[in-house]
Parts: sequence; C-alpha cells; structure tokens
Amino acid sequence: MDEKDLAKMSPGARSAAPRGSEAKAFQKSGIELLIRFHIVDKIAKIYDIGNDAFLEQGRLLHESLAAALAEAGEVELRVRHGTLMLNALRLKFGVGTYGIFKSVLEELRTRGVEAVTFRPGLAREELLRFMSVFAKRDRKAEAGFARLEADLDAAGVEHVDLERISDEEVVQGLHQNAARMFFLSIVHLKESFSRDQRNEPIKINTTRRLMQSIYNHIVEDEAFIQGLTNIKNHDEYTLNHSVNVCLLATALGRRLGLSRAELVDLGMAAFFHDLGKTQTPLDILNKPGRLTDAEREIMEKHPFHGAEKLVLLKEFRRLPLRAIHVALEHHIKEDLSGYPRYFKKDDVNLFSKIVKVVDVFDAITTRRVYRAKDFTRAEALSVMLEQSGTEFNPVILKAFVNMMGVFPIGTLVALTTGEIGIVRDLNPETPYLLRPTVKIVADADGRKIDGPLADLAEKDPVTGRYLRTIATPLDPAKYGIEVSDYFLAEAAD
Amino acid sequence: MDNSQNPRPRDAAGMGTSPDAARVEKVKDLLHYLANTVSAMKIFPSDHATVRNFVDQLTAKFADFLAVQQKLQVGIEEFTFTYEGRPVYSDEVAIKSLPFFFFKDGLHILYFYQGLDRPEVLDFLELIKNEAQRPAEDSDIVAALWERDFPNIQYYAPDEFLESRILAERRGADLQRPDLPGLPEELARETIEVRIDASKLTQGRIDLDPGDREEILKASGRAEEETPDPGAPAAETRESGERSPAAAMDPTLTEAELQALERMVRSNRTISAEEEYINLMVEIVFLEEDAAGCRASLDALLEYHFDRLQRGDFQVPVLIIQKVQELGRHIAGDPGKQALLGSFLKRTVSPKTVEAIKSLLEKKKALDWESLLGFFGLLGAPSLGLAADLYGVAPDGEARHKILDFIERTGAPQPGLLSALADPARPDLAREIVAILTRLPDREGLPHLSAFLNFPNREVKLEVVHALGRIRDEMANRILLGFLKDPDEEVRIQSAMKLDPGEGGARVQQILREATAPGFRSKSLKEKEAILSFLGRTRSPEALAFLGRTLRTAPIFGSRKSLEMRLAAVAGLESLATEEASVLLQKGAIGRTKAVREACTAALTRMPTPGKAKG
Repeated sequence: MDEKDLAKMSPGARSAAPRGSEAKAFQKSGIELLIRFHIVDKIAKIYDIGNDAFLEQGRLLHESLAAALAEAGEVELRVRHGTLMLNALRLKFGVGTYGIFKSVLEELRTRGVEAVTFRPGLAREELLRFMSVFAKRDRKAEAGFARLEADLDAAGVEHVDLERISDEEVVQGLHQNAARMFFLSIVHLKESFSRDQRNEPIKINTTRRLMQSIYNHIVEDEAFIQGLTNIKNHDEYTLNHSVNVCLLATALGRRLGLSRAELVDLGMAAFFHDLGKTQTPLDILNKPGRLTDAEREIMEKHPFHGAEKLVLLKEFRRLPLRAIHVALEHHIKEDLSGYPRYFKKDDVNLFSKIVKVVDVFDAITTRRVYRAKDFTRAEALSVMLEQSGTEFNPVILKAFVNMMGVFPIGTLVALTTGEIGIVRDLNPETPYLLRPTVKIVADADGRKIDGPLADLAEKDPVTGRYLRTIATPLDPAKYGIEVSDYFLAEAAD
Repeated sequence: MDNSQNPRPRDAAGMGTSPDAARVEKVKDLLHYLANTVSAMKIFPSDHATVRNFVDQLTAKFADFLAVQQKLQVGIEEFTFTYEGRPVYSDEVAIKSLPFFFFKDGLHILYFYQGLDRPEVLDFLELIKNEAQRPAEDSDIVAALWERDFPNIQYYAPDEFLESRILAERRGADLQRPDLPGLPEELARETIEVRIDASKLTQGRIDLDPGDREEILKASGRAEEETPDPGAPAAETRESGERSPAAAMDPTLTEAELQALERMVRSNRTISAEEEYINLMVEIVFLEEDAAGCRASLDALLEYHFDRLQRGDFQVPVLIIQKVQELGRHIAGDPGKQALLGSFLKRTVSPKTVEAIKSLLEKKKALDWESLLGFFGLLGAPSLGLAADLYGVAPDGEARHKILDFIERTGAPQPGLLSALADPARPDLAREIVAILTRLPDREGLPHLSAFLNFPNREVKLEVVHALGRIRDEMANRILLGFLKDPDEEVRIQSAMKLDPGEGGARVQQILREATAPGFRSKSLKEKEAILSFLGRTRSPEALAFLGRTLRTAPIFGSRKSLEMRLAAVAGLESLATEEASVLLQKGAIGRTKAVREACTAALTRMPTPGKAKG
C-alpha cells in the first residue's frame, strides 16, 4: 500500500479528503489492503497459526498495515450502510473484487462488528493472533461480538479495537421490505403501462426512486433479490418478467462496475424494455404453439414499438437515453443478427447487451404456453453458454454466469445425503463454486421440512470430507415445487 | 430495507439519553445556520462573499460539533428538525420551510458524520438549492441525495413513502376513470402485504423419480472416493461438468476479460448522448412503416433540433441534418418516406431558428459561428435568408465577415437569391451584396444588379452605379441607362457620368431624345452637364451637331435654363475633345455671354490637344 495515500486518510486528515486522482490512488491502495486482509482471513480459517502460507500472507498484511499506521496513525475498516469504509472513505469494488468485498462485509457483519481499528504498535505476531481468532467460523451475530472480544483479550490482542455493530447497521425486516418492493415494482409497471395506453404521463420520478430502492436492496442482500426473481406470475408475464429483468440487470451491472447512477439508468431501461409489448395482441403473445410468419412479424415489432413509445413520451427528457437503446436492441444478437435490423448503426449499447442476457435467462426459465419445456436455472445457463459470442456478448455472459453461479440461487438440488434443498446463497470464492449455501426443504426420506441453511463448504472435522455435496439439480416443476414460495416465506417471517 | 442510504434510526423517537443543554444549543445554532445558508444561496450565487462566509461558518460549526460527537442525527418532521427527540428548528411556511422541503419527499433522518469538509458541505447546499429550483414534478431531494451519494452525509427515507406514492398514483389514476365512480374502501387503504401459506412448505413429501435417485447414488459414490484435501477444492469445478453443463467452465473472469469489460464500461461512458439519440431516432424513422408514426418521430427530432439550437449547440442540428440526408439517400426507393424527410429538412429552417439565435445573442452567449454556419451550409440556399437575418445582429466584424463569406459561397451558384437578400431595411448588407454580385466570376452577378433599379436607398444605388461604372460591359451600361430615370438626381448624375459611350448609335439617339425633351431644360446644371458630357464622350456626329447647336443658341433675353443648356453643351464639347469641338469652343470663347465665354476658355485650357484626345 502506498503510505502517502493512506496518510491522507488518517483521522487527523479527514477534513482534507482526497479528490480526483488522489482519490483513485487511495482506492487502489485501500483495495490492496482489503485483499490482503481477505487472503489472511481465508487462510486463517483453514490453517493454524504456524502454517507457512498463513505466516507469509500475515507478514505481507502486517507490512502494509505497519506502513499505513506509520503514516496515518490509525487504520479503520468500517461497515457503513452496506459498504466498506477505510479511514472514512468508501471503498469501491469492481467486477474482479466483488467477491472479496462481499466476503469481508459478511465476515464483519456476522461477527457483529461495525468497525475494526488497527493502532500503532501492532506487532506481526499480534496481528496473526487477531486474524486467527477473528477468522473462526463459529461466530454468530447474536453472541458473537462479546465472545470475539473475550477471545481477543485472551489472545493478548491490544492494538486492534472492535466496535459493536450499531442498530443503524442492523436492518430490520429486510426480506419483507424487499418482497414488498418486488410487488410494488409490478404495481408501478402495470400502472405505467396503463398510463401509456391512456396517453397519460408516466411517473418517471417514481420509477427512478424505485430503481434506487432496488439498488439498495441489492447492496443489502443480493442473494435474496436473486431469489425473488424465481417469482413467475404467469397471468402478468410481461410485468413480472420485466421486474425480474430489472433486478437481474441491476445486479449484473453492479458486478460489472457500473456506477450507482448508471445502475439506476440500467434498471429503468430494463424495467421498460418490453413496453412495446403493450401493442402486441394478447392472442399472439400468449399463443400456444408456433407463431405464423405474419404473427412473428408482429411480435418482432415490439422492440421498435417500445423504443418509439419511449421517445414520444412527454417525460422523455427525464428518461435515460439508454432506455431507448435497450427497448430497441434487446433482441439484437451479438453478431448483429436478430431484430430489428439497423440501416446504419453497427453496434449495440452495453446496457442492451446486459439486458439481452438477463432477458433470455428469465424468459427461458419461465414456463410458457408456447414452449414445450422451460429450463431450470442451471440448465438455462448451459444453454446460453452454447450461444456465447453469437447470441450473447461472451464476457458479459461469463460475468452473468459468475454472478449466478453454477447452481443459481433458487436451484432445486438433491444432495449426496439424500436431502433436497434450494440454493439460497452462493459462495463468493471461486474454489467453492459448487458449494453454495442451501436451504434444506426435504429430509433424506423426502419429507418436506423447514430445514437449516446448510453451507456446502462445511467439512466434517473428523474425516475432512464435505458434509454435503450437490448430487444433481432437480426440475422443480417435475416435483410441484414453487421455489419462489420459499423466498416469500422468508419475507413473511 | 428502505429507499435511502438505509441507516435505521437508533433513537428517532427520542428514546435516547437526555441530551445536555449545551449540545442541544449547538445543534439549534447549527441548523438555524444551515437554513439561513440555504436561504442565502437562493439569493446569491455560490461564489458571492455572503454565501462564502455562510458556508465557512456552517462548515466550522459542523466541524466543531462532529469533532466531539462524531455524528449528528437530525430528525425531520413536517415543519420541524429534531435532535434526540426534541424540536430544534421550526419553519411552518411550507414554501420556504427547509424541514418541509425534506419531509415532502419522505426524508425522515439526516446523518452528518465526522469527516464532513467544506467541499462536501457546499455540494450538499448546492444540491438543496438546485432541487428547490426545479419544477415540482421533477424535484425529489431523496432521489438527488441518493444519486449524489455523499460520503459523510447519509439519510433515512423509509420505503413506506415510496409504497404509498406508488399506490396513490394508482389510486389517483383509478379515481379519474369514468367507469369507477367511487374508490372502494379496501383499495383506499391498500398496502402491499406478502402472505404465503408456509404450512404447504413443510407438509407432504418430495418423492424423487428413479433417474434422480440414481444421480444421488452416483454422486454419493464419487464423494466417498474423494481424498480429503481442504487445500485443493478448485479441482471439483472441472469434475462437476457432467452434473451441470455450466460447471464445465470456470466462470472466473480472466485478466483479459476483466480488461475487456472495463473497456466496454468506459466506452459506454464516452458515448455522445446527442449523437446516440440522433442515431436511434434515425433508425426508428427507418424502421417505421406507418406515415403518422414516422411524422411523430420526425417531429420529436425536430423539437430536439430546435432545443439544441436554442442552447447554441449547433453541431447537433448539423448532425441531425447529415443523418437525415443519409437516410434519405438510403431509402431512395420509398417516395412516401422521402417526402417526409424532405419536409423535415425544410422545417429545420424557420423563423424559430433565427429567433433562437437572436435570443442567444441577447443573452450575450458567445456563439460558435463556425458550427452555426456549418449548419447553414448543410441547409444550403434555403439558409441564406437566415444568414442575412443574422448579419444584422452579429456582434462583431469577425462574425459578420464569416456570415458574408458564407453568403457569397452559398449564393454564388444562384445570384438571384443573393440580390433577393438585399433589403432596404438592411442597407449595410445590401451594399455587401452589391459587392458580392460584382465580384462573382464571369460577371454572373451583373444582371442581378438591375434588381436595385427600384431600390429606395440612395447610398446603395450609388454603390451599384459605381460598381457598374467599373465594369466595361454592355449589360452594365444598360442598367446604368435605367438609373438615368431614377428619381434621385445624384443617382442619375452618377449614372450618366459612369455610362460607357461605346459604339451604340441607338444609345446616342436615346440620350438626344432625352436632351431635347421639354423636361430636360428643367434639370439642374450638374445633371445637364453630366448627360451632355456623356453625349460628348460618344464623339458621334449627331452629338457634335447637337452640342454645337445648343452652344450657339443664344437668345437676347435668354433665361437661366437656356444659359445652363449652353454651359452643359460646353461640358459636352469638352468631353468630345475633337478638333471640331475645339473650334466650336473657340467660337464660344469670344461670344457675348460672359459665363459662356469663361466656360469655353476654361474647357479649352483643360482639353488635350485636339487629335490626341482619348477615344
């Protein structure tokens, strides 16, 4: 870490927070420190304090911290409203560092820690002792903080201070609010569609505010939001689908490193991407079986109609321009085939590429009267990967797969124990891609139960083997399972 | 989760410990100062000394408080700010009340954290000012705070506000429906509730089919065979490919892919919104099959065109016209759409254009004349009138020079359009147009100078006459002859003086008819001299005979007019400058009329030696 960068962030220097290029340098140095912290934390979970890898990585973390402490006086890592602050400046993550951010944030929160402050005089051995105690996996938020403090005292850690998480950081009713936001989005979109048809102004300010709320929910618990996209309302397919696309696009855009303002624009674009379908006759939209050529021609007009509607809206100026891109381009393929065909433009906007990926994913995982088979979420990713580079932008698709995981949230899985579960959260670390957290919904005998949340990365301490492994993904439709009910049940708790 | 930065109030209802009086006083003082600073900013610009002073003081007050307390949490009620449950600032005049300004958009709590510095305070104040100045339907302080994402100013705005707004908007729409006379009670009280029958999730069984059971058995066997090695979990990813096809790939993005993504995101940020919008609109027009729809899209584009013109952003209109012209070429086989595009292009030139530019000039906005004239250039000849209008309002010589240059370039192929730009109300431009017409190659502008024969402005006509006089050309002469009938004497005189005698006998006859007409004698001496001088310059025998006769006609009781005729004949003979003319003048120099004698003597003195005279 660059000492001078951190020095600018010392508590005494906070009134002169860096801006512009200085802020960029600080971000770079801060993220480096965060990565070192993360690496040592992960190693400390697996190895004892005498392990070579632990010692080496601990040495590197200590070097960074010692240099920073010499310059800044103190180094404080703080959770504030779903983000991480280093000496009062917010750290920003990119697509490559999202997993580390999420992991460190979770590590602090699950231990009931709002801030960790490293103070001058911190020796390497003391840092290693701190990391070893901190990394223990059995900490839970309820009693975790007190026990953690006691353990640190017992380990003789004197130059690291912890601050207990405040009420402000413990968000109440998180899932319930997220689910309400989901349904509110449908209400608002329905109202927007119907206002458009009545030629009345659409409440763009409300949409924007809604998108901001969606962003906040994604920051707070992306896994639950992804879980909500399992909700499939077949009667209001377009509305439900548009909201799902909006949620997934915003989450994906966040992974890609888009700014908050860009994410709101992306969310709005995704939200209105199928506005043109209001002009497509319902008997075509819902026709069982194949469309005739004439019907297909009408169907394929919806991107154009959507874009046209948006540009003619009275509130057009308050809409992001990219909403028009997305409405018009979300059926144009990566190789520029698809529809509509431009006469001149030879590229497709980034937002359109993002929406295209999530649009197809949500569409093919939804049961429709005209399709013989809908795909499970895991199958959908595989099917889409086969069209990487032709239908989809390969890098965006890969980022999407990275976000969704090999077994996306909401995937119904059978475990090697015979239990059946629903993927509830992903393990952000690459080595554990196949080991998400699973809500057990049926025991080994097939009886439905309100089972525990099982972390598939957990091992039997005696045998060193994983306690549970995914044996196979299951088709929920085959077993009459409505995956979304399990997420809604969480919200109703 | 709430639509905010999401902090939850710890003691919003005043449940915290009793604050000490000094601290409360500090908060009161600070919030009063905040309100006063916002008021000052609504009156003065941000760099005004008064505002600077307010911001300095406010920053100091924040720093002073936060140095001790680390955080200031301000509760927001309809017209009141609270601190630890106690009212600390109130203003019940909704239109100016700062608490109400926050409250109306659902803001419940503001948090200020240690680290708040002057730039952040100023940004916060600017944000309030800007939002307050926006139209009500556009303004939302919570959305603005969210977007600005201050590091040390956070807020709490519960999602319930958004929920009630969305439901109210729906109810409002329902109320306007004619088929819905009254709002049902349950709808009026409606909120979104998430309900689920949890019992169905824990009752019953999931009986897997044999195929899935077989998969479990196989996977269990594989798990048993695995050697426990906590250090190498990554290998599992590849093995699991057969279980889930997506697992066959490692979805971790490579460095090259990360860089590709970064490039995409960066490039997305550098796209010109204007150009993208135009591109999209042109594509929409291309795709549109319905004429009414096409017209509507073009209208939207036209509106954008004028909007940009009004902002002085002339590059956008240039782009619009270029793209529409390009589309026009592409759809050459679609006459209906071609006509719409043609009509669109015509409409891009309208009095609104000049009004927009004039308005910019009135606002003393520095115009990018190059871009503006580039825009006119695309429009071609139809823009000449606009350019002419702007010439009169251009702020300086340089701008005028550019406009004239444009007019000359654009009007050259159609000089008739140039002469049409000459407006008596704009004599300066008219004189420049005369100069341009005169400069045009191959004398193509010459015939169009006749357009000035009926021009009311004397200076401009004289400019034309002088210009014509410099051109030895039959066409120029014909126009000059036309000017001999001008109501303005000076114009007639100058025209006569500039007339080229040439070789045309017809012209001599015309002037002789004029000179012998009854009215000629009534003209001034100067004009008579000018016309008879022209006659002399023709050096024709008829002219000599007429001039000699006129000089000799000396009635005993001659009038002033008769005298002037003779004096004018002297001038004509001087111009003739032949031996015969000299003889006639010598005779006149010894005549009985003193004035004639003197004139003839003076003329003979000035005359070159006969025979060497020009002509």
